[in-house]
Amino acid sequence: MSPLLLLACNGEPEPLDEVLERGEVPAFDAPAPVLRRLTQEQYTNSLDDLFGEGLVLPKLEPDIELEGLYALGAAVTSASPYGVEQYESAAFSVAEQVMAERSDLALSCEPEGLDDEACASQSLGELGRRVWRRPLTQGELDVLVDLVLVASETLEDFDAGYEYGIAALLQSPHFLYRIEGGSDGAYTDWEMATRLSYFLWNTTPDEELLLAAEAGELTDDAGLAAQVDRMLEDERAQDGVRNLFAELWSLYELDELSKDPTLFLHMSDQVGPSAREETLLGVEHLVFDLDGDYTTIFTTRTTFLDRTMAALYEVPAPEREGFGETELPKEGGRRGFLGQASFLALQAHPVSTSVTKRGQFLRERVLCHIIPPPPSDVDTSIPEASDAAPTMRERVARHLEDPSCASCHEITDPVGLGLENFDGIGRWRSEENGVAIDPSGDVDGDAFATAWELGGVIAAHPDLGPCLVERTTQYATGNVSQSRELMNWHEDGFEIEGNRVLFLLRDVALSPAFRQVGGVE
Amino acid sequence: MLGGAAVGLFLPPLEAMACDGVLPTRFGLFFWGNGNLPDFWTPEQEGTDYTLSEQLTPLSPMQHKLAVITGLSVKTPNDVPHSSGAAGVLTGIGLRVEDEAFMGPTIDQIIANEIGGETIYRSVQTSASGGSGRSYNGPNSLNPAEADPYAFYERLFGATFREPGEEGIVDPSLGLRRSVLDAVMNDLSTLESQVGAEDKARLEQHMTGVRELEQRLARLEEDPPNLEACERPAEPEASYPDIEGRPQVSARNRAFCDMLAMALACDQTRVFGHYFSDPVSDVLYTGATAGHHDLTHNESGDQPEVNAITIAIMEEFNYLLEASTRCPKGMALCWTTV
Repeated sequence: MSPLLLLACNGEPEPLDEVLERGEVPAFDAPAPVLRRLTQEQYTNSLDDLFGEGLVLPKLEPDIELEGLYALGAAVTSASPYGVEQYESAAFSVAEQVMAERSDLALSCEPEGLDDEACASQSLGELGRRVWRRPLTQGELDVLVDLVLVASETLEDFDAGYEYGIAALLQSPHFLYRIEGGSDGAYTDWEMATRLSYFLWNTTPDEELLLAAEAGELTDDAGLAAQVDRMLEDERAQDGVRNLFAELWSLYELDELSKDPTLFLHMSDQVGPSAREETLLGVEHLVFDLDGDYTTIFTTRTTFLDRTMAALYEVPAPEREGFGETELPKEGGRRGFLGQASFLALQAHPVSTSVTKRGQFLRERVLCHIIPPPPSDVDTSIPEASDAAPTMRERVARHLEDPSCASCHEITDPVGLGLENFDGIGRWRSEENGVAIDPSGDVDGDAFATAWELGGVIAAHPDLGPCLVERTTQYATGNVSQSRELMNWHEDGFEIEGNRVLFLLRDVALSPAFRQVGGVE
Repeated sequence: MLGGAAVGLFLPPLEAMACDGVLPTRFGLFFWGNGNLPDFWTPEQEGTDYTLSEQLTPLSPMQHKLAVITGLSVKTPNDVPHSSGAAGVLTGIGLRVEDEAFMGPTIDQIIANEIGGETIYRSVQTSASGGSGRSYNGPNSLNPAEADPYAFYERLFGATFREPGEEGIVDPSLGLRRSVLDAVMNDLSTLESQVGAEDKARLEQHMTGVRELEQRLARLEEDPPNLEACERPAEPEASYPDIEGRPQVSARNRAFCDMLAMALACDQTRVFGHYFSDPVSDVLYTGATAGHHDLTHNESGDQPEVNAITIAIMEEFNYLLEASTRCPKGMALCWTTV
C-alpha cells in the first residue's frame, strides 16, 4: 500500500504519514459491498443538480435510521410497494416538468420527426451517463431508445415520448441505488465518483468528477487527493457537512418538535426549524470559516440566532430578519451545542425536560458509549414533585439508588441532570418549584458544577474525537462495523491535526475503508 | 403489561361470520401504542353475556359483533423493552436486538400474501398520529404508513378511481408506463444476480413493488366491479394543523377510517393496517398533562389520565367499526375480521 500523498505548497508530494507521525496505515480487511438507496435528501439534491432547482417533487417514503444515521439505514432497508409507487409518480412528475420548462437540460438535439433514433440515442446516452453516474452500455441504451420511440409514436409527440425515457432512467435501480461492487478489491473510478459526491456533497457527481472517473484519476492516489481537495473547497461541501451533522444529531426530527404551548409560551412551528438552522450554521462556521477544533462545538459562545431563537434564549437578536452571528453572554450559563435548543428541546418530553433522554443522547451519539436496554418488568414511574422532591434531581433519585436501575442510569442521569437549568424547550431557569436547581455531577471522573462546565468536560472527553471519527466513517461507507485498528489510526491523525473536521473528511475519503472492497457474500 | 403494544383482535361469533353463506375475506388491524391497563380492560365475565369493561365501553354499539379474547401472552422474549412487544405480537418472532429488526412478516402481510392478490392494492397502511406503523414484509422491509389523509385520498380515490358504472381508464399512457416498469424490472433482476444475499432480498422486495404496480396499471383499464356499497368518499382536509399545540389525532383518525371503510367496500384492498399510534407513542393528546408514553411511566396510582386516553382510543376504534357498517346492509364489516 503506497503512502498517502499530501501535495505541499511547493508542489512536491510529502508522505502524509511522515508529516503526521502516526505510522503506516494498518492492513485492512475490506468488507463486502453494500447496496445503498438514495435518501430523500440525496434524491432531491441529485435532481436539483441534474435538472436545476425549483422542481416540485412528490414525496417519497421516509428514510429510516440505523444507529441514528439515515446513511446506515439506506444500506439495509427495502423499497416498499407504496415506495415504488411514489418513485414512479415522482419520476413522471419530474419528466413532465423538465420537458415543459427546461427540456434543453435533458434533450441535447432537435428531433427530426417522431422516429429520430439518432437524436434519441445521443440524448439518452448523455442524460443516462449523468443520471446513472456512469456511461450506459449499448444494451441499456437500446432499451431506453426503444421506449422513447414507441412512446413518441403512440402519443404522436417526440417530447412527450421522451418523458418516458427520463422516467425510466429515474425509476431504475441504477439511479435509485448506489451500486458499488468494485473490481479486484478496489472500488472502480465510476464508483469512487459516486462515493465521493454523496459523502462530501450529498449529491450526484458533477461533470468534473465524472471526467476524472473517465480518466482513471480516482483510483490513483494523487488524482483522488486532488479531487477531494477540490470538493472540500467547493461550496457544496457545506451541504455535505450539514447533512452529516443533521443525521448525527437527529436534527431532521426537529420538523416534528412537539411542545405544550401552554407550558412553553415561546413554542411555535418556527422553533424546530430555527433551532436546526442555529446548530447547522454553527457547524458550518466552525468547519469552513475557522477550520477549527471540533471539540469547541461544546464550549463556544459564538452562535447564530434569528429572532425566534434570540427570544428563546433571552438575548438581543443579531438581525432584524434571518440569522446573524452573535456571542452569548458569559453570565447566561449557556454555551456550545449543549446549550442549543436543537438538542435540549428535541431530547426531552412535550411537557418537560428528560434527564435520561438528554443523558442517553450525549452518551450514545456524541461519545459513542453503549447503554444496554432497560430490564423488562421494571416500574419506571417517578414521584410527582413535592416538598420532599421539588426538583427533577430528587424525583429521579431512585434511578441512582436502586441497583437494578443504577448500572445504566449512572451513565446517563448525571449528564442529563447537569442540564436541568434548561427547561423542556431550552430556556434558562435557576429554580424548579421554588428550589434552586443543582446541576453538579461528574462524567467518568471529571467533575462539573454547572452546564457551562459540563460543556468543557464533554469537550475534553477522550472519546469525543474518536466517536466522530467512527460515525463519519460509518456515514461515508454505509458499514456499521469498522476496523478498530483503522479507526485508531484515523483517530490519531484527527487528534494530531487539532480535531479539524476538514482533515477528517479528507482522511476518510482517502482511507482504505473508502477505497477498498471485499467480495460479495 | 408489555413494554410495547396491545392489539385488539375481535372475531365475530361463528354464526355471524357466514353472511349469505360466504366466509369473511378481509382483514384489518387497528393498532395503538402503550397498551392498556389490564384492570380496566378485561371484562369480568366470559361467554357471550358479558359486561363491557370501562375501557371497552365505547365499543358497546358494536358489542353484538365482537369477541374479546383474553388469556393471550407473548411468548417471545422481551429483550428490548418498548420494541420487543410489538414484534412478538405482530410477527410471533423475537425482535433482533442489535438493530431492533422485525424478523419476519407481520400478520397483516402474512394475510395479505394469502388474500391480497386480487385487489389493486395488496394492502394499505395508515397512521393517525404521524407514525410509520409496524407493517413489515421481513427484516428492514417496512411498509410505511401514510400519515396524511389527503395524500391517501389522492392515492386511492383521486384520478385513478372509478365508481361502479364508470368505465375503466382508457389511456395509452398506462401501457407505456407498464413498458417502463418492464425495463425497470429487468434492471432489478440483472442487478439481483450480482449482489449478496441480503441485498438480493431487498431487491426482490423492490421487484414485488414493481410487479404490483404493473398489475395495478393493468387493472385500471378494466371496468370497476359493480359493488353496491362503493362510492367516492368525502375529501379530507388538505392539512390538520395542531390546535393549541395538540395534534388533531381524532380528526385524522376519522378521515382515515371513512376512507378505509370505503376502500374495503370498493374492493380496492382486502387488508389494511391502521396504526392509530406507534409503540412508545408520546403524543400529547387533548386534555392530557403529558405525552402518552411519559404518562404510562410516570403517572402515579391508578393512572387516570392513561385510562382516559385508552378509553378515548377505544372511541376512535369504535368509529372505525361503525364506519365499516355505514355501508348498505353493513356490507363492509360483514366480511371483515378486524
